Amino acid sequence: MGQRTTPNVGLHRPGLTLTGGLIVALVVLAFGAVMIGPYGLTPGQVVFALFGQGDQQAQIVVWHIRLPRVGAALLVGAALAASGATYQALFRNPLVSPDILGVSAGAGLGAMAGIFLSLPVAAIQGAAFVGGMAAVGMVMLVGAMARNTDRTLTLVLLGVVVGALAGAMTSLLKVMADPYDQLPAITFWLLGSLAAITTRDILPALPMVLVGLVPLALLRWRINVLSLGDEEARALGVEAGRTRLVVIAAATLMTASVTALAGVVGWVGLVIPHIARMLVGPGFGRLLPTSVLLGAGYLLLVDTLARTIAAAEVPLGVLTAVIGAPFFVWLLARGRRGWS
Amino acid sequence: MLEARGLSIGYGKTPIGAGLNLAIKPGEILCLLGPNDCGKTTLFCTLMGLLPAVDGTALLGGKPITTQTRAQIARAIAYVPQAHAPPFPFEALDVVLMGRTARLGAFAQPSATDRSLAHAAMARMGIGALAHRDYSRLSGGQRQLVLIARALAQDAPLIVMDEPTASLDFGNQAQVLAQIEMLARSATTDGRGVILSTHDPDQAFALNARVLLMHNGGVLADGARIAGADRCQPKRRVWLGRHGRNNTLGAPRLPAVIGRPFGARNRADHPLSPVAAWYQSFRSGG
Repeated sequence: MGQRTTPNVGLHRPGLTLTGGLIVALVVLAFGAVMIGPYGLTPGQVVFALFGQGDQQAQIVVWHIRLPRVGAALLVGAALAASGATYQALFRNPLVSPDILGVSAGAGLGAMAGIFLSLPVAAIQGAAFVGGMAAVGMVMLVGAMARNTDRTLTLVLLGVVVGALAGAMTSLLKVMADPYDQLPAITFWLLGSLAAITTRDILPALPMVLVGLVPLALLRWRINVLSLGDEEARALGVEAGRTRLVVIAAATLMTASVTALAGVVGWVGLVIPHIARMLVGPGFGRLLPTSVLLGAGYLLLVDTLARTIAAAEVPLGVLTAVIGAPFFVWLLARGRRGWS
Repeated sequence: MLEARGLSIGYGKTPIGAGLNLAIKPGEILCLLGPNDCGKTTLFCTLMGLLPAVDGTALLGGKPITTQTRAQIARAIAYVPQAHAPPFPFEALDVVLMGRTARLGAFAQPSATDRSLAHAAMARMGIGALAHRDYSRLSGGQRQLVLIARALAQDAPLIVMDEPTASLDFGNQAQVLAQIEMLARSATTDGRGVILSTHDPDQAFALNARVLLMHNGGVLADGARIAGADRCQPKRRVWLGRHGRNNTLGAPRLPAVIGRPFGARNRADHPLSPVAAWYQSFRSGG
């Protein structure tokens, strides 16, 4: 018995240390991000402002500008990384990302339509969310009707098709949009940005992300089993179809709600789960929290860079691609533990 | 325990095999013998309810398999697929632990008890040392042993194995066959039923199994167990026997049903089952 428990402790302790370390790093990073900006703050000012004391100006900066933005970056990064890790496990493919089922393209089309119709910001977010969910709904519906034995491949292909269709419609809207007013807004949104974030924008997205996260956390063992493929998962006692549907819906809910918030931010959901898998292995029970923490920290870092490295805001999607692409190439070349 | 009545198997609406009847009881080893692509895997999938039957029914514990949940089925039947490569580098122990899934609640994680059961199953297959190795980097034979350990951890009264020895070297084949026989016949395991497929008739002898000859998706013959077969047939002669036409060492030719496409031969031509007939001619001729 003693022999059995010892390796267990050895197996879990580094995981906990890592999680703890990541949380501490995240807090430090968030604190730093609140300090940095055109209106620089000292650590003391930030602490005072957090407790509602001291300099009035600093309080406004912390509570109305920096914190919403830091919060949004954490939320978006965490949600994208979590759904990326989920899609990769579910589709048994380390190269898929949250966009795979046409989520981003659908959400993009929804937001475009909102901007094109000059709707208010909240309605644009709502339209983005509806667009993302509609794209995935369409993929799942057609996928369920298709008489193909390889369901996973069918879904991925349909995702590409629906994504391409939504992309075409988006292009059409861009051509038709008012070049002085709407087109810049569309372009900026397609590149992703947290520049205009307020607390009011985050509040509807936060519960959606949490609602999506709960089934993923609860079903973490079943998600491991599903990554062996549907047939084997069913032979092991998992109602693969139903479980897969719940898990995809949850991951899509997360992606769609943060895409509605921040626009199309690529690469996070692709790269972060790989780094997490290198750190803690493929077991979803540990992969999910690690991905969430890493994703949150990564996007916070990138967003802080986006608003500080140049006089004007650099679009978030541009930076995540510039950082993510070479990193991914490095991962591929190294390719030791990410996948077999 | 598991029974098929007038089962037609196939993908979609076109059957690749029809009118299949078979039954397996506890403590019995049923060996599906047949060439590649004769529908063995399809039959397995249909028997386990993974694939809808084109016609007929598969019964598990007397109830149609389609009326039972996946967890109920998995608690009764453990499936050992052909060794495969997973996309992610799970530890071998994790793969074995997945065998416990049917006994866990939907939101539950494997407990310490499940872990020790998984360790025990691996130890029993002689691969305890591989527990923390990366499953995706194991050899085909090691993976097969891990998958069998997983079926043990699943703790089901019936184990279905799809070509369990296909990727194994000679030593591992012997080990796996010995384990299969132990699973079915050892008193301490309450005599599990084992269905396995193979294209090597020799293994049916080695296991002293009931043999089901399959061809083109149909059961050609349900051979009674070859009673008291001495299991130490020289491998080479049996092997040559399988290619009876090229036989140069004087081993008897196979009956046509095995040596050639099975064609229209029916059981009336062979009062004994083909394998038994072959075996008898083998013994008298040799």
